[in-house]
Amino acid sequence: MAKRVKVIPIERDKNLKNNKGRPTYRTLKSAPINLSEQQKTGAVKLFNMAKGILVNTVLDVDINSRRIEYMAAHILGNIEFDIDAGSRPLENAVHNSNMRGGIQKYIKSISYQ
Amino acid sequence: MAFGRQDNKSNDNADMKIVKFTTMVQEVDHYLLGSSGRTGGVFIFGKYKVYYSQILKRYNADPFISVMENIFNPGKSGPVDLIDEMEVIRSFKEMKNKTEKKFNEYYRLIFWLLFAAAVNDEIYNNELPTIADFAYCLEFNEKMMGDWCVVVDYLLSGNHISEASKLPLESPEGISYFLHK
Repeated sequence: MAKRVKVIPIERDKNLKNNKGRPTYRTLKSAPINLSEQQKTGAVKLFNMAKGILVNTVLDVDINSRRIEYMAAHILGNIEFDIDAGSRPLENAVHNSNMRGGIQKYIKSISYQ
Repeated sequence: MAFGRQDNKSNDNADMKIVKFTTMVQEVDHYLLGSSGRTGGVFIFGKYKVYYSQILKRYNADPFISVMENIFNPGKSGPVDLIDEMEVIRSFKEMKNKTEKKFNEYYRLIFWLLFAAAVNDEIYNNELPTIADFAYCLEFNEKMMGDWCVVVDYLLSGNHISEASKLPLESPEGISYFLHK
């Protein structure tokens, strides 16, 4: 039976660089292990915000969902899952590719035909 | 008058870009579907499809994204229902168990999401972390992600993909999926 938790806002970490004012995964990673229940649920909110998803109202989430498991692993200091070893490298692989310039080349190639 | 002619020429050029882009997306999707016999434009996984539809709907002010929306979401004129991303992730295990042999659809979905990100800067800036999350959930690794980007760039550089394409792919999944080998 999935445990239900309520998500509440959490203060943003404004000291992080290059995050455009949004909290990042690093904020979660640096969270202390001994969190209160309120802080844990706040971290869920933070996690959503970190992914650019705005949750303006209280949201019920399934603690058994995969992403919450990831988040919980961070909060509880469980090193079996490290998000930096998960989706972040895939994101970096995209950043490191030349993919982004493709559309400009595409438009240019048509313009000169 | 001269301005009018220039405007017309400019419009014609823009129209030509859209026509060519439409043809390319259709041809590539048909190629990716391979011998499955389906005609393209439909994803089989409900939650992921909804996310993809959302992306296309949200950014369809971009004429290229609008083209993709028309191809992949034909006839949808109303707003796409917003869903909680958690709902998508929650359904992952369930889908994976049921559709172990359907990895090609995962590959296709991530490909078109990356393609949309390459076409539109806003999608790239706003959605890439989520796309990477989905890719990770769908068991992509870095080499695969790199390969998928290589193909996106290859196509947007004006090339046509075929089994004979000389693509510098590194992952067995990429070689199998994109070159049908």
